[in-house]
Amino acid sequence: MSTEGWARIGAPRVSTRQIIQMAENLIKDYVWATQPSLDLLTINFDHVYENYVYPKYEIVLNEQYDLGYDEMGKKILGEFDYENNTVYIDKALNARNSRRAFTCWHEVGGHAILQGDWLRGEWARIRGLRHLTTTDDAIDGRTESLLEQQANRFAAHAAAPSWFLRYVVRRVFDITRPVRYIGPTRYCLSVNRRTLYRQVYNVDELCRFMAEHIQWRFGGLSLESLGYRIAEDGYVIYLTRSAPRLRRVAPTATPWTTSLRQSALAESVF
Amino acid sequence: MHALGQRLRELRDQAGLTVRELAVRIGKTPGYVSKIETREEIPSPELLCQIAGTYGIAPDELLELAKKCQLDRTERDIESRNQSALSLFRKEKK
Repeated sequence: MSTEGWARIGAPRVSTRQIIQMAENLIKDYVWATQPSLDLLTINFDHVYENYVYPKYEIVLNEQYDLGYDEMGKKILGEFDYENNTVYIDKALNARNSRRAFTCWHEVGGHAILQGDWLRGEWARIRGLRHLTTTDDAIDGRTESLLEQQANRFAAHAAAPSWFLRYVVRRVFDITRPVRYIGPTRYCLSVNRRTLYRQVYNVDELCRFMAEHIQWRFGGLSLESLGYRIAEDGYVIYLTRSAPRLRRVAPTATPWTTSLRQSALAESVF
Repeated sequence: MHALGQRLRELRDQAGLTVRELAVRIGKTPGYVSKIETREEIPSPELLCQIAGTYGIAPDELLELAKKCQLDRTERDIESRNQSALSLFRKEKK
């Protein structure tokens, strides 16, 4: 069954806040279960899966098969068989592929953990929909399917939870306020107490510049995904997009300005 | 998931044990049990005997499956090395 088919069915009723909370709690529970030192903690999908997800949820992850193409001719990256609680990841997405981590989090976290029970309930209601497939479009931020949007949100916050991102950003960049993007120019960042300069042409590049230095903490997550999370959590502010504070506005007559003007006028008269 | 992992999961389900309970019984981490069941990790013969003892079955079947999985893996390794050597040879030839 394609994603378009599922889009007509809907999605479990959970708010964005609840999804983020669930994703962040998953990682907190993993940290609690494995108890690594926070200084050395890295959120690696494989490690979280082996040490926390599989023992708790018993979701099987199969990466041996070529999943082929869907009816629209798009490459299938992942598939969730909710009846058997099994996730399939296309074998082309091997460990060296930067999209693997996000796709795994999308399938295992979003579809299996977040929506698994709901999907099994729906399957009991609507017979015949057995597999949920994920293509390139589904893991794109602009997808219209609510199911995929929920899975993407869960994946983003499980792969890089806000509490850990805050810890890492403060530790590596030593910043007390957000980095401001003011346009294409040379930016200076303090990275591990060293000053680094980089010519940046757009806000995405600035986010990726920051992401490059903390990527190793988020085991295999792509620079694009991590850069997106950095921007989402407000560590980079894009002033040129929404700069109402800098725009000059025509002064309006307030009682205060009116009285000031009247007093000035009175002074000039006398 | 290889045949050994699949069989071990079946046995665990039949015994009604969770991954964590089995890990405690065999003195390993839950992560290692996950690796055996899902990530094609092949445990040592001693550990397989211990797992068989936990389930109260003879270890022969598990040892046989482990041997088969090891042979399959070796064959795959040889095949992939042959392929990479061949592609290197073709690149050099160009």
